[in-house]
Amino acid sequence: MPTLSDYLVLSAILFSIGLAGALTRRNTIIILVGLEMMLNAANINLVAFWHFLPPSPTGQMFALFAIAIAGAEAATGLALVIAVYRHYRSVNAEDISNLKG
Amino acid sequence: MKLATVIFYALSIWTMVSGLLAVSMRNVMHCAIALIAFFAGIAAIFFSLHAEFLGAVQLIVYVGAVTVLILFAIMLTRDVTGFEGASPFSGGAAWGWIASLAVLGMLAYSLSDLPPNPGFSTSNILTVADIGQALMTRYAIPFEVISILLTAALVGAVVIAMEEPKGK
Repeated sequence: MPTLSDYLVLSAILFSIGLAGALTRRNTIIILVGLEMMLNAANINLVAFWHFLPPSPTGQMFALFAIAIAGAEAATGLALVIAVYRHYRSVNAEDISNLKG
Repeated sequence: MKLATVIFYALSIWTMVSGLLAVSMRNVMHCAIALIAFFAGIAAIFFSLHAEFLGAVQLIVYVGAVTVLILFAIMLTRDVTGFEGASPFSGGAAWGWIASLAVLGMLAYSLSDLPPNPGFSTSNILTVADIGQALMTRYAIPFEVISILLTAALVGAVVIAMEEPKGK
């Protein structure tokens, strides 16, 4: 039987993969993909704690609200990407450097 | 080995491989496809944890809506093939890998002295009716706040992505 720490380790690995994606990619859309992966990894934590610790719906409710916030974040983030693309004709994070000193 | 263990390891490998592909492939379109597999794997993990409602929500919101949004954003910002000519990684990518490995190490270190496992509980069951009741009673105010937030995000996304007036 998988235990609580198995799920926590899986969640930590998935979080690190998402973080690596957000930190290393050039394309801003894939940076957002990395953010979504990190949020999903955190949700695994919440659901695993709900499953293994004494009954209380809090973990699942928290995960539900986190999914709603992640949906809002994805919508605004991708709208920003499209607005930036219209202005710079590029979605590469390195090309958006107007504020660079 | 018990079936639950086999399923857990299969799902772990599935999500890790699809996650790695989603952040490392050269073609952005392929990244989005791998991301669909990743989200579906997370939904399967929720199902295996007996969080059926959350698994369904994950399928609807992520596999259904967020990936479609991402695919639309990719297609609106480049040609449909999504091929990136140069390297998909930024200049200092090595530092990004080092930083994420460091975060993984810190998380592994903090997990190494976890208190004794509380064990497998089969009594923790939350039906859809329970969730609905909780949303209408104890979580009524967060529920309302989240609906305001979603409305604001929707309006904000439309305003941000809107074509700028010609006069500006």
